Formats: sequence, C-alpha cells, structure tokens
Amino acid sequence: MMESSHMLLDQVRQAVAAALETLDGVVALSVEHANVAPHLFQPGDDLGSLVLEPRYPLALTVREILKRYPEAHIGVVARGCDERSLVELYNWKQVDPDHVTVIGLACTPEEAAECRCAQPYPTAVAVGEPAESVEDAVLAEFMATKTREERLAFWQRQFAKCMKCYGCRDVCPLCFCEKCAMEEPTWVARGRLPVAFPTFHLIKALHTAGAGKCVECHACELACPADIPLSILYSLLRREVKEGFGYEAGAQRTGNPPVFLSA
Amino acid sequence: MIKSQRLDHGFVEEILAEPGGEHLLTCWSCGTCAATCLVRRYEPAFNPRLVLRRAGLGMREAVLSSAEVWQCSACDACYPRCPKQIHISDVMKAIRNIAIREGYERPGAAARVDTESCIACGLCAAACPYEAIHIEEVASKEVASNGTGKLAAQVDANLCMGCGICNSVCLSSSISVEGISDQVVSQDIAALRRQPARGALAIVCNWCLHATTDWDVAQNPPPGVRVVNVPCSGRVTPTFLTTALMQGYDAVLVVGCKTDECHYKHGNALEQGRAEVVGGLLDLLGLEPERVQFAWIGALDRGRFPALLDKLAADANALAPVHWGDTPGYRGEVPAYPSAATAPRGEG
Repeated sequence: MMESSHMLLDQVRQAVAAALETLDGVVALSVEHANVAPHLFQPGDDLGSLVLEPRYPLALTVREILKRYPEAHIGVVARGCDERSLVELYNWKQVDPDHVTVIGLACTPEEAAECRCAQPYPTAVAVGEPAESVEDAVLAEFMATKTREERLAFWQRQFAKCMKCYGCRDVCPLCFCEKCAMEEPTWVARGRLPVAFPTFHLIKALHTAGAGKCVECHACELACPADIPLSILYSLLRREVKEGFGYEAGAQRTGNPPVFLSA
Repeated sequence: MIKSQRLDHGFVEEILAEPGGEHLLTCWSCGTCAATCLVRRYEPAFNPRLVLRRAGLGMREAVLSSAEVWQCSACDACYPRCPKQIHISDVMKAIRNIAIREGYERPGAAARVDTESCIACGLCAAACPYEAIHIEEVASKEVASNGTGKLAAQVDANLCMGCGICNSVCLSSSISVEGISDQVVSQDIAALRRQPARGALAIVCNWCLHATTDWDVAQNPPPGVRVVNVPCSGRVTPTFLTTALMQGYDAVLVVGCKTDECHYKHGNALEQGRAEVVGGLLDLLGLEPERVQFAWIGALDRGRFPALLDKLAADANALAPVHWGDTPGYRGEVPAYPSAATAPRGEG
C-alpha cells in the first residue's frame, strides 16, 4: 500500500512535469511546513512538495486563478469529483473550459470506499487505476430504520451541534457566490446558537445539491467538526433533482446553469 | 375636457398598423373588461375600457404617458368575456411598443441587479419568462489581467413584468424586485403572524383567484390563517417556507395557478418542481407532510380557495409545535429542545 501510493505520487509528479512544458501552471496540493494547501506549480518549480493527501477540492482554486488571469492556460490534478466540479463550474459560467487541462487521477479502492463514491475516477485517467464504484446506502438506510418522529429528533440533535463555522460552505467546490445566503440576516440570526432549524442547513443544501451542483465529493461532511451527517441530506436532494428534473451534477457540459429550484 | 383639435387620428392609424392593435376600433366601451380585470384589485385606477377609448379617440399624449398602458399584465381574464372578442392585452402591447419607440419608459418596479455581488452565472436570464435579462460587462473596479471587466446581469426595464422569478432562482439574491425582495416578503410574513404564536400562513399568487368571492376570502381569511400575496407562486422559495414555520406558523400553504395557466408563463412550473422537492425534504427531516402544502387553482375552481384555507387552519391546529431554534422574528413559546447530551451513542 505504502509503496503503491509512492508510485502513484511519482507518476503524478511526472505527469505534472510533462504538462508544465506547455501549460502556464498546474494546480495541485502542496505541503509546506507540514501544512497542505492548494498550490499553483509553475514551470521550473520543484515538484517535491506536491502531494495527494489529505484530499481537498481544487476546482475553486482554478476559478480564482482564471478569474484574475483569464488568458492563462492551466492544468489541474483532478480526481473524479474535482472533474465533475469543474464541469459544473463550466455550466455555471465560472470557468472557461478552453483554459483548463485536466490531469486525471483515479482514486484508490480505499479512498473510494471512504467517500462512498459512485464514480471515483475522472473521464480520462492519466494516473492510477479506476476503482470500482461504491454504493452510498446511507440515505436508504436512514429512511428504512427510523420512524418519522425519530428522524425529526435526529436532525434537531444533529443541527443543534452546528457551531456555525461555515466549514461546509468554505470547503465546497461549488459554493462560489460573492454574497452568501447563509450570512443573510433575513434568514440567519447573527451570533446566535443553536442555528435555526432547519433553514440554515437547508440553504446550504438547496443552494448546492438543490441547484444541481452537488457532485458528491463529501468534502462538506469530512470538513464538519461536529460530524453532522450532511451527506444524507445531500443524497436526498441529488436524488430529487435526478428523478424530478433529470439532472445529474457534473455529468454533462451544457454551458448553462440548470433552472429548477434555487432558494 | 377632451378638445377635438387635440386629437390625433394618426395615432389611431399607428395602433391599427401595429401587430396586435388591429381590433382597437371594434371596442364598444361596454366595460366588461374592466369588470373582470384582475389588475384592478391592486390598481383600482386601472381601467382597460378607458385606455382603449382614449386610444381610439387619438389621445396620443394622454395614452402614451399614462401608467395604465404598462399595468395590464396580460392575464387575459377579459379576453373570453369581451363581446367583441378583442384581445385587449395585445392592443395594450401594441400601444406599449409605440410608447417604447417614442422613448417612454415603463414606470414602477423592474428587477434591479446588485452588480457587486452578481457572479454572472446567467441563471436569472435563463429563468426570466420575458428574456428581459442579459449578461453584460459593467463598470467595476474588478479588472482581469487582460483588461476584461466584470460581467453582471442587466435588466431591460421595458420587458420586465416584475414577477420576481429571477430573484427566486438567484442563489445570492443579487437580483430583486422592489416590494417583493426577500426582506420585504419575509417581513410581511413575520409581521402578519398571529398572536398567540400558533397559526397558519397562506402565500397566494396574485392571479389564481379569479372569483371575487374567493378574493374576498383572501382579504378576510378565517381565524388563525394569514394571507400574503406574491405576484407569482414561482417567487416562493423553500427558504420562505421554512422561515415561516420557524416564525411560528404551524402550517404553510402555497397557492399558485394550474399547469399551463401561469400568468408569467412558467413560474408555477418552477414552484411545482419545488413542491416535489420540499415534500421529499419534509419526509427526510421527519416533519409532517401537512406542514407545507401546495395547491394549484384555475379559473374554474370557484369556491375551492375558502375550503383550502379551512383545511389549512384545521391542519395547523392538529400539528404539534416544533422547536425551530433561534430564528429572526421568532416570538413564540419555545418547546423543549432534545439535548445533544441525551442523544443515543453513535448519533453524537
């Protein structure tokens, strides 16, 4: 395992080095003083600091860079969820696909299992072997094992744990608004805990999964310091959007944001 | 006093030549249109008979400069009742086209964009029933390395009908219509909440109640029920509904027009989609399906609205209060909150 992950890392560094011969830069994770953060590797940079873990969504970093330098052509080391996020950013007109090159990285079976990921690989895999899809059964299990009263009590307890750190929003690769409804005093009282049930968490869910943007990267759930099982809520909205409007986030480049819910 | 030398027959000819304006002179001035006009509920001064009469007399200035030619919202409630079968909204549209050509502007509230927070995703433009919104470069301090400026949505005020659908889809509410912004509607909802805390709320589209008797019930709803009007059910986002619950209403009802009868082309279809999703969310969160209800009313549903409100009031009474946490505008009694400390292990 250790050996294979080293091999994977070497292969990614090689792919990035090759891409930097033609591109202005490549977005990937970089470690500095034991801190890992998104980084733009430019031609000539030492790729020794490039790492793959811990996983962090990179799509919005691409958006930020291209927003300031629209003429640049940059690459990104993208897992399946990163690539799907980029597709949604294209559709929402936040990133110009002609200026992005995806260096596809397939997740390992262990990573796929940890994320309960249905598609743990990008459409074109440059590094790694595509792992098998993992079924996410949390929503079905939740609905099957709890009565209505138990579900209400469950969510009241879960949302009451929220300390309003906004980590779920800040990590989300599809939260790109300049002005966030989760900070709008009309909906959310400032400086008050516990947060309003269920509006606070529904705004986040409806504005991402409900708007057809959630690519199931699970970053919000992994980032939540209170361990709120957000993916149950997001799975439901993904299902509603797929069944009701035939839309699956990240599946298709349409060039336009889908009109249905919002909030 | 109308002076004959100030009448302009050329204006009449101009309207007759404009697509939609052909039938201007067939009007008898019987007033049936005014008697059935839904706009008159909100704009008592509006009278389609008078607009057609003045236009037919050639009162160019009086007609083009009036607010009335812009007030017709093309609901066509008058059309099937007109004994001369004049498509009055088309005549209005013809007159408006002339007004736009002569430089008159639509008065009243059109959608406005906060260009600072707009991210130019184009969702509002895609959702607008009137193609009144376009993405354009706007003046801003934000300039990219290649000199391109900031893009943002821009509204053609002459095409905007003020339905608020753009606002309902905008994730950051960067576009809004005066009078039906998030703040105004949610304040209306909060201000109308009954004392004591419990009660029910109906958010009703301006156009679905055709019968005057139903409209009277909306003005004087049964005890325990409050009615808030919005131009279109498509303006109502799920956030309004959950916020209303948290503000102390035990049940909320959204009333819109029937499929294919939307006043703003597809606002009700948008809301019907939301209704499905809200139903799924209520089920997931363990809230009773009666908490948030939707109903679609057409011209032939006379008398259904009062029955809906009675059922809403009864449902609200039967539902147990829920703790909604700390909410802006919440003034009700706070039931005991299940404590995190008593949660079964593994759920913590």
